[in-house]
Amino acid sequence: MRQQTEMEDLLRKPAKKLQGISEVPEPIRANQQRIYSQLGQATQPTSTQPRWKTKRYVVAGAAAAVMVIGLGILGSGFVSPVMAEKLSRLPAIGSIFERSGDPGLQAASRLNMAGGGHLEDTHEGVTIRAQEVVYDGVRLSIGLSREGKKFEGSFQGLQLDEYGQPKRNADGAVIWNPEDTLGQGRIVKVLIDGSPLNPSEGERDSFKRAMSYVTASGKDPDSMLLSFVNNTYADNGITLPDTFTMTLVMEVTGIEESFHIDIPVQKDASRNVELASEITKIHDHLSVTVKRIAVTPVTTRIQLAVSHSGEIPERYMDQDGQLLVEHEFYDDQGQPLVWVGPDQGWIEDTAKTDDYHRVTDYLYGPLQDETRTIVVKSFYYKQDAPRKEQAKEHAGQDDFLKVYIPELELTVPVR
Amino acid sequence: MNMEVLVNQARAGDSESFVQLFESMELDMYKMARSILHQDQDCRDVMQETTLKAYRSISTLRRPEYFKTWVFRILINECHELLRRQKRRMEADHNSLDEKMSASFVLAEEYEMVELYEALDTLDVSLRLSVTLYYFHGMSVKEIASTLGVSQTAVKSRLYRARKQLAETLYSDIEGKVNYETTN
Repeated sequence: MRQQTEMEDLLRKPAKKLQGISEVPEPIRANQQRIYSQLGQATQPTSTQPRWKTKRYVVAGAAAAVMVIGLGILGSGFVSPVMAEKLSRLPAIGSIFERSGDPGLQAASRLNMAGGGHLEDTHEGVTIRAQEVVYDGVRLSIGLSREGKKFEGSFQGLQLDEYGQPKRNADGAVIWNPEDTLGQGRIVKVLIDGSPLNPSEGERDSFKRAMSYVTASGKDPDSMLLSFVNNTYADNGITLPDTFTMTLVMEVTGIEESFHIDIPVQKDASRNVELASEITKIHDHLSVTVKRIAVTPVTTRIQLAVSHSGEIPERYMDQDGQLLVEHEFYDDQGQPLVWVGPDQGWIEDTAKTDDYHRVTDYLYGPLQDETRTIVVKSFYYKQDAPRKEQAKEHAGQDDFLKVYIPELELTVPVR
Repeated sequence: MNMEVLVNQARAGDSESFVQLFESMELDMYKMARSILHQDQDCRDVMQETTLKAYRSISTLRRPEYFKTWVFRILINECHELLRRQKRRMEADHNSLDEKMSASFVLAEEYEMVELYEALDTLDVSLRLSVTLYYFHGMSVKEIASTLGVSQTAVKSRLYRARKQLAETLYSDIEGKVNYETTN
């Protein structure tokens, strides 16, 4: 028993030593500070983040049309009580929406508005799950995850570093999974109540009316965000119903069978504000109109129409004759709105006349409660910049290459 | 600012709140790591990994009031993994065993402390962790169970086995049985 007491006493001695430690050694303190500073850089999304845009050119008869699609960090709206009842709480894996970095998404998460679910399909031990679904009347966002095997690369395709940011090569370009990467997902079909999402190709204006979807990587390799945005820029553009079941058909590289996931969706637009504006400014024969604005708790959609009849200065056009003028959006405190995207639109640009008409929906995060107006600024990149793409690469030197057109600045009330 | 408020802000993506939380815990984290690991550079590495892992997964924390326990669980796991890796390397390379034994022990100035630490090193990592938390940090069986994510019965069993093995190692020249019971 003496031994027992001796050993107990011995075992308790280090506790006294530990109590005597009053500070963290400097090298460890310094290392922690270095880590903390990297955390701040890794996660704060800003409006100067590059927009990854894909342009698709289609020539249909006499009209050349361009659909501009942006890829980025996608956010969410909120989930209706009906959806919340249908969906159950997430298991321990964590919220894809919470971690996406989108301010609207984080707001919804703080308010416990983004529901979780077990809408899933499994093949060969791999489960694809629709974890979170939100639809605010402007966009439908779905958080998807994969699990069950040791996968290579990322689910969505963009390769990520340890902070969940896209990896970049020496030129600053993002890096995608190599071909045939095991576990990469791909949407192959989308049905709404059993019918295809978009009109068939033979239908009139099918391409113009179609609704596109975009994917974005989650903050980890096993998650991704899928977003559908209502087409409000085209006449009879495809918009989602108020209540429906979406069937997603996905293929995963390395798994033979495709995955089918049925997702019940109900729109909740109870707190939305829709404003028709038609405020216009004209300068140098170029006209910019804010046609309408939609304000929801997590999305701000601003629709702009830009037109001219061929008499605009050459500096507003690139060498292909395409309009170079773009737009930025600020609140009444001068703060840039946080881009969530995707931006999409349509250009009517016939070869018969010089008339040009472009309608674009721009998607941004939620407004602050106190915001009363939005300011729309127009600018173009200097034509003598080597190439427009190079101008955009120098994002930190924006002011050097951007030329604003103050005569086209618009201030629009939003409340 | 109230810790729960900071935790909620950190969960929502506020990195400044996250940093504030971690800065307030650095000393406790260092003491915990130091009680398990022998060298400051190992402590630096596990604290770094813990910080990054906690940052990446804080949104999974369901109960903000368990934030500290949750962080310490990550930290202890990191110590656990590092010890395992070191043990595997030591087993593969006998030369490194000597280096390990000659490392300076801030906490083991007296000879008997050196003996204790050498005896602790012979324990399985899970037993060593239980002993460290119970004796070095004064945690109760219930607190240890919560931190390690195991049952209280498992903790008691580990403490019993650890004490038995330590006694055999430290007092192996003395005959007689050793009999230990936990008291809480």
